Amino acid sequence: MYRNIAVAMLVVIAMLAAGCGGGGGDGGNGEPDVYTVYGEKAEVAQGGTTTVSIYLAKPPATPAGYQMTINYDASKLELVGGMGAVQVGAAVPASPNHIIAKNASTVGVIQVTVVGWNGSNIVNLNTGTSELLNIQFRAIGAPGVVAIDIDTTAGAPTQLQLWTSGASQIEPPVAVIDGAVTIQ
Amino acid sequence: MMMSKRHYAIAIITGAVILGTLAAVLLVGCGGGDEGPAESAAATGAAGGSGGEEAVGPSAGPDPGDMDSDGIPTGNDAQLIMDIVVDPDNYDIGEKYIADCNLNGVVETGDALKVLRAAAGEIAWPFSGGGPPPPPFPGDSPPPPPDI
Repeated sequence: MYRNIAVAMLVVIAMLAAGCGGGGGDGGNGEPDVYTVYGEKAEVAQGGTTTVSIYLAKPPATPAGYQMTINYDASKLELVGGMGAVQVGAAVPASPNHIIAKNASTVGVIQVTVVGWNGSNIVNLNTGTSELLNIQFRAIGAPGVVAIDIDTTAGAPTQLQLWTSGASQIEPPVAVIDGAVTIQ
Repeated sequence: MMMSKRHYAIAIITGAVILGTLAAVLLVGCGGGDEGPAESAAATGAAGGSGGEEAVGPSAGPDPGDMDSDGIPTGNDAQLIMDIVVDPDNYDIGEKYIADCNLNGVVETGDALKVLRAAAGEIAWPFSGGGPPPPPFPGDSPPPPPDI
């Protein structure tokens, strides 16, 4: 009997440990179960266009603004219509209730910052909808997987940050998962 | 080798201790995401513009955040700060200095939000504490010529 209890306890320990440690996200398009910023995995035919979204899951506080840098291989993907390819996602209050600044002048690099503002007050992002940003790409390269890198390098220009309406920075995400475009 | 009842009992006690530790870790590290502390610094959210922000002293030029030098915090100031955030190489050090409202040496989205808080009347403006700026040089007259 003692042996059975010991074995059962070990099984419970293993299950608990697996459940706690597996919180880094699922690597796909499903929403992770911890505070994560993650990119969409998209597929596109050679020469075609696709939109890659950047999502936010389970923030510990409601953000009113964010900034981020996205890196991509410009020999394989190009922005459709230049700067117009970079648009806020559904989590951001619709225009004119936000301020955005974006820069794609360096090929392969997108820098963007967004805050919610209705002209009189700061407006929080809608965290019920997790879509922060949409980027429309055209596949110009050979078939293969192209990373959509969400830059988390310390000190990088426009390093990924989220801010509250109180102008306080929210702690960094537990996990950041890059997106990808698979050119077929 | 066969394990005695004593060995099993020790194993069960050890397992119970590990279970308790895991439960504590789960409660603190895994399950508290929705209610954890929100911000890296306290946001007072002082309404009515009566303060809540520490004055940083007078400046020689425009007040921090007053990018268009009109003396009023607006969405336009925030937009100009955000333009610097995404394209810092195209702006000079003076503009970055004015944009750095939270005085941390980096122009970031939080600086724009701080200006917007002032525009909304949530915090006092100007951030420099108010009052006329000091003259750009000590005294109003040019320095005397050097003795030859």
